[in-house]
Amino acid sequence: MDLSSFRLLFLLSLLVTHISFSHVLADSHFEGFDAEEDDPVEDDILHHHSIPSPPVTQSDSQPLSDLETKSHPDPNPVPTSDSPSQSDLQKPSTTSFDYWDEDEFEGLPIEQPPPEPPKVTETATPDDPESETTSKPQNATAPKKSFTVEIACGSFLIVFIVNYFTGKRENENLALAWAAKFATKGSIFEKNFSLLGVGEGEDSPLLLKEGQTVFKFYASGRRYCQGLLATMELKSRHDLISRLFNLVVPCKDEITFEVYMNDEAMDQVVFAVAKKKAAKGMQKEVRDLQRFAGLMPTPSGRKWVVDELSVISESKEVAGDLITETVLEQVFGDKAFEKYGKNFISMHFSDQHPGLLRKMLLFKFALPDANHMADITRLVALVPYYIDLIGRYKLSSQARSKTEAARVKAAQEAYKELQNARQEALQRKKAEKKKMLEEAEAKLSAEAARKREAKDRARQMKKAMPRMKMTRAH
Amino acid sequence: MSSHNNNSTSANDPRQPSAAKPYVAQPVSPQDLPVDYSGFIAVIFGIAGVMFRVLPLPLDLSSYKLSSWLAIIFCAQSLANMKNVENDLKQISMAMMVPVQGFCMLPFKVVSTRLDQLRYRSGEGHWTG
Repeated sequence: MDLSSFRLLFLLSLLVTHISFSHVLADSHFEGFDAEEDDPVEDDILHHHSIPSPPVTQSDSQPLSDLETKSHPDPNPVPTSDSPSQSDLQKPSTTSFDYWDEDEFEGLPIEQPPPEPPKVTETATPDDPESETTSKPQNATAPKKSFTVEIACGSFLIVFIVNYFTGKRENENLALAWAAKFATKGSIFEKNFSLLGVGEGEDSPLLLKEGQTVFKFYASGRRYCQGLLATMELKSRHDLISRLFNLVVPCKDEITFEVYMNDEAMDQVVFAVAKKKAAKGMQKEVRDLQRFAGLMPTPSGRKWVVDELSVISESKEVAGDLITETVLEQVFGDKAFEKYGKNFISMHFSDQHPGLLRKMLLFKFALPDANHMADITRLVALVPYYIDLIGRYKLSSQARSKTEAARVKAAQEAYKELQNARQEALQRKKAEKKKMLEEAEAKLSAEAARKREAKDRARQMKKAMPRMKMTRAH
Repeated sequence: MSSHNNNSTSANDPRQPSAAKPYVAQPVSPQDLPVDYSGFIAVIFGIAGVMFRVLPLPLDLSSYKLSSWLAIIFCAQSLANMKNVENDLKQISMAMMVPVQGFCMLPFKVVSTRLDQLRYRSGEGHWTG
């Protein structure tokens, strides 16, 4: 995310510098073009000024003529008559007004663009004081300044806002297309779950929207599982900057199904299927896969998943039992995968998920666009199929003892870790307490010392008092 | 739970209305929320815009505006991406104030630079007016 923003930033700055350069070029062209004709007018204007300075003729040899011309493109020399009335002190304020003006009118740049590009003072600002002073009165009517930044940024902002609404609509349409295909009457989820939607009651909303890109669909009331949560993570179509970034780094709309299995319905299974490259990453990064499972080599003498995919499993037995003939025929086989599997990303079943619900099936697919929702029908059909398969599946006693041992070991390790953490926390607490006690003691002792001091002083005073009394008594 | 009770009876229909549980949104701790990078960038640009204006840096005027404008654009992005309306709106409106302040300070900066330039030029005798 941050990378995307920074890259975009870079692109933006490139764009802006490009624009400014082109303007500088235009500038120089213009200068060369009418440097001569404008001189008399400049003369005229300059004469009105009360600033004592050498005449214009002297400056002819200097590149000053360049600078003067910048003020000339202003078509109306009329306001020059105002200039005598201006004192030196007023000038800056008019300049400021001119700049203020430009901000003020940023909304209507359509009228200004033609005169301004030649007047861009991007490069000339430090060395054309007279053009500013002379043009000040003119600026009051026709502001002479670069609007490049305003136009570029303002129009970008407008496009951004328009895109926000269109992109939002696009995302909503995609999510609704999915819901219409898979969660309405007679659809695959309606046939498998008794409760659909995030609310309660008959006509509860099917989808829950979180932000502009995340849509959730919930279903419950099926054998073997407590519920199913489908989360659609769509592209940030509403955000123009992310959208531009996605042109460079493409990403996909994804849907993730989380099936929360009943505790007693799922045996000790750790199993995953993913594209070859992703599988390697998953095996290293996902904790339960890393701990309990390993990459499965393709078994010989058996139909297996296509070469693009690899299987991660706790044991050969589990992998062999979960990759059934039906699944191979429907999706993962050589023929079917080409046609139906292109939106498959990964699936991951585990009874050792971190978190509250440990037994979970995860399916991750890419979403096709709204008109081709049917492309993932077979993939979505995998979800109820595997719920039933896993729900009925029982490990053989041999495999079971193996997995049991692994889990006991893992549990022990986790327990040890927990113990260690607890002990550490206890020790830290102890140290803190000790420190606090010490501090309090130090404070107490300081207070005691102060008290003693006060007492001493009082005693001394007392000692002094009687003498005073005695003297007074005399 | 009751998942195994009527397996045999509903072999063809996997639905179990009795086992249905309504959706419970999982609470998300504020630490888990994604970081609002665009808001952060917006604030940086906003501050840069104000700084360029206040400090006498030898930079072009358009770059002063540019960073304030970029700040506003990134503000818009973070506005578009916000999830929790109440919380985020507060932060983003704060971030928005910075570039706005940058724009408001423009006149002062211009006055001071222009005055300096005027003095410099007239002192050197390049002034031709």
